[in-house]
Amino acid sequence: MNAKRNAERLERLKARYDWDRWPGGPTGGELRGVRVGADLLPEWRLEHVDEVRAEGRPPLQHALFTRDRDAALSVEVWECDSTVAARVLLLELLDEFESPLVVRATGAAAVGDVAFVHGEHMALFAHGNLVVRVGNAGRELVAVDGPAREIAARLARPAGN
Amino acid sequence: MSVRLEAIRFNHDPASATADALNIRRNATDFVDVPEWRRGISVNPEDAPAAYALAETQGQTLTIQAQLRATGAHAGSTLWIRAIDPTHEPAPGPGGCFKLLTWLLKLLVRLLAGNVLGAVKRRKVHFPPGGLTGFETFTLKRVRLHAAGVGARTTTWRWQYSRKKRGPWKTFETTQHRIYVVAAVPKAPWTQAPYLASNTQLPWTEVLDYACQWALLAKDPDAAAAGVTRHVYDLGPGLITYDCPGGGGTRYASGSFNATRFLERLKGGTGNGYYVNCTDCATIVSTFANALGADLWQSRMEEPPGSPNWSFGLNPMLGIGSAVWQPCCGWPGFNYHEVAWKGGCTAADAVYDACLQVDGDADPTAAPHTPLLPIDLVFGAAGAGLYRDRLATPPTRGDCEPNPGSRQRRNVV
Repeated sequence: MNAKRNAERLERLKARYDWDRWPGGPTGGELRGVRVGADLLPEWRLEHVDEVRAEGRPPLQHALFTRDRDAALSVEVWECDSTVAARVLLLELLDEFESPLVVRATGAAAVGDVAFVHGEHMALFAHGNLVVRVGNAGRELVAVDGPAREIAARLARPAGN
Repeated sequence: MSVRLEAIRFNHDPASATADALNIRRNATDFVDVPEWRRGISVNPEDAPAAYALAETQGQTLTIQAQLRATGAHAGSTLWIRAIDPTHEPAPGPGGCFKLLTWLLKLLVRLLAGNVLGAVKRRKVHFPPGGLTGFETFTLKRVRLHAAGVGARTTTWRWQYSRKKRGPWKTFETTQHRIYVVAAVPKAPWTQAPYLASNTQLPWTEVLDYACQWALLAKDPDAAAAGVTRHVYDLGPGLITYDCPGGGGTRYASGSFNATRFLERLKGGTGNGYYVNCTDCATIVSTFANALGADLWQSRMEEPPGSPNWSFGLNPMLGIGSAVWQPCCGWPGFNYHEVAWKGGCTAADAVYDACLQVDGDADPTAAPHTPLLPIDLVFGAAGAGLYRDRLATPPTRGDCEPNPGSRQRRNVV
């Protein structure tokens, strides 16, 4: 996308997703060198973690966790340079859902600083300079609010604790 | 005293694809070393892979290079060397229908699975006193790449030598090679240069294994892209399905295309999971088809700048993996949609959409429905009865506009 179109698109997305009403600063500090591992979701089995680098995007760690026979969770963690960069990435990621039913999370589903959900099966949230997406990856569907809360809590703790 | 084959180079000129094989690798981590066949290392056909492009080799004489060793009395001598196609059978003479039918059946089997590289034409080779030759160039004859079309097949050669031009011939080696035939030189994101082990965008044989099967017998890039599109759609619901639970987000193509995980999924592993969206389908189709020589982009359609709407409505469709005619997942519309797209990715250009089947009859807005997988279907202006009209509801077609500025070809990882 060219720069002008990009800028226009970003402004449209800000209007659509009420950017002006997002909370100002991060609820926690910014995190550096986050490592996605099995301890992120201890009740699940970590199948793999891929480190993905793509032009124009911050580094992504994409993990797949499984449980039982057909339940699987896809967990993606982007580490941005700053909280503002994470919010902008959040907007860009919102622009990559085909469904118009992705909405701002409320209540128990509202994890991190700013969170969006699609029903109970997908959560996307910014947490300081991190952006996290948790979604189903298996045929057996599970609600992701619990795992999303667990991930946000885990990311908020210093490494090793 | 004997003659031995030490190595064979199929891709002996990395700067050209007209008379020899393409520059390839196996996957993100493994390079295909040249010489592709090496004594004591290459055992199975897949140990010695090579790929050829139909368009670029049309009318050209193909060559390979072989290194040989003679021992004993043959060292320092000159011998005739050739490799025959052990599957080749000349057309039968008169002898009845059964004989002809059997021959035709064998011909069909050869077309699907046989020696597309034909045979290695005999030539004189001088063995130095030490016995080891350099890489000698051999011409291929009875090459059948163009008759066979796209595919991944095994070429078997029985190597023979003789003191005299017309024999008697003595067999000294039999080699087998996995030969990929693509419609044209692979297009971006695939590259042919730089030809380095570190270049992960050289075409992958692991991608060609599937792409060649999906587009078997295709003779041109459009037919190859059509085959790939059909087979990707048919992966649902067994292997993949549309991401209704997650809102239609990408799992394999966030920034770059995680072909490694998609291949893992194709082989029965978990990969990045069961769910895909339009971006994934567009990326899979274009990347696999472009490995066969198609020239497709991943590009979006969405509301134009200044529109008061955020999405466009959908006619009933069959999303990948679904057997129910409805707007995708029962949603009120799409925020955007992404497809594999030709040319400039404008309304005048054709799309290949493996994510959904539209209604192909006179009224795409209502039952009865006639499933139509969009293959080489022009996007079209609103009201033209083409892709746009079949996807978007009549009142929202103006919000389903091509966005050529979004076109891209995601790198393969």
